[in-house]
Amino acid sequence: MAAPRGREGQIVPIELLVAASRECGAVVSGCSTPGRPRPHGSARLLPLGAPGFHCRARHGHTPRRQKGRGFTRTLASPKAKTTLCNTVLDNPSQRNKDQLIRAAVKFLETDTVCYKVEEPAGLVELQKNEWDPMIEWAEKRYNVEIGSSTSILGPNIPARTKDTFTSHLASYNTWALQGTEDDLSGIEYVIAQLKSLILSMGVIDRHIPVEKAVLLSRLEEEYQIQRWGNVEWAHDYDLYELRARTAAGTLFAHLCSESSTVKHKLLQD
Amino acid sequence: MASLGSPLRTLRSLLRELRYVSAKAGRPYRDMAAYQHLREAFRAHRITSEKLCRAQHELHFQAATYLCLLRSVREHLALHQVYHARGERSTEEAAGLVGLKLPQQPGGKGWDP
Repeated sequence: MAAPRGREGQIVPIELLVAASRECGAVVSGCSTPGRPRPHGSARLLPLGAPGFHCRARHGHTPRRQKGRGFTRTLASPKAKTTLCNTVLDNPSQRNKDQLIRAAVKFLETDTVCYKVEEPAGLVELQKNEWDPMIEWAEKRYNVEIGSSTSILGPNIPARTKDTFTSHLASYNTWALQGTEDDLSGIEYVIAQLKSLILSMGVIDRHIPVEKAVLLSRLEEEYQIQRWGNVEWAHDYDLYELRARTAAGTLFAHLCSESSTVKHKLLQD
Repeated sequence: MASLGSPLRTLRSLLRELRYVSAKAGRPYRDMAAYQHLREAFRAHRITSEKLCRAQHELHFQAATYLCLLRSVREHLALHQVYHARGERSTEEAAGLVGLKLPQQPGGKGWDP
């Protein structure tokens, strides 16, 4: 298919990523439960003239800024139930941004990374070596306090921490945060997949790559796999599924909230 | 902080994934729009003034995330095909597992009129 072009004649990256996924052969327009028809054609590319999608070029200095928002991307696996659908719709689950943020911050209390075990010793060691640096990074980056605990009640998160995270999450626009009716996309999705707010922030802030975040999220499972052996059709299957979903979620969040500026150096005469 | 490796490695892995995709689509991968875009993007962002290296890292991170997505979707599909795609065995196959054959009744079982 011909490369879709932006208004200024340059290739728009988001459309191309959609094109790539489409050519994956795995893309099917639809929703997460393919049997159910959508009331409107939701799985579609937003037309180039859609609001929030504009290119500006100025003469002289030529800094060009393009902001791509709102793209449709659907990946389907053969299993009907595990279709991963990233679709930008108007808010079907009727939750506004504040509720989303509050739900996400509430997740911090049950964050995976904050719950440590006391035995076996190998797992304790592993958790100390792998999870503590993440918590330290989060504490330093956001200037907050997050403890970790071994009790069943979990760590005690001070209110200031919650406020900091609330304001940080509020800086992302709704499309980067929000979900669709059946599957969530964006940051919320990543949090739901990784079961951890801290790890999700690490990935969204580009601190750790997606594979590492998935590894940290499944730390106990990896420990047991090393101990007892790997079952390919269950462990690897889930691992790749988790990786795919997390990667899709972060890519969506990044693409929804990025804006790129191209600055050309002027030739010195 | 886990390192992403060199951008060249990411680019080559991305091209390999695109080759797998295009093999399925049946077209040469150089025709694909995604290939053109990747090539241009990697070339355009190769040279920076090194003042703001962070932006380069961000783009590389995005490329690495996309690579992770493509790779894990492909592996997931492959595992699914191998282990979970076949469905149930038919009655003949199930009987054949233990060396039995289904009984033949030439006149039919009498259920159909």
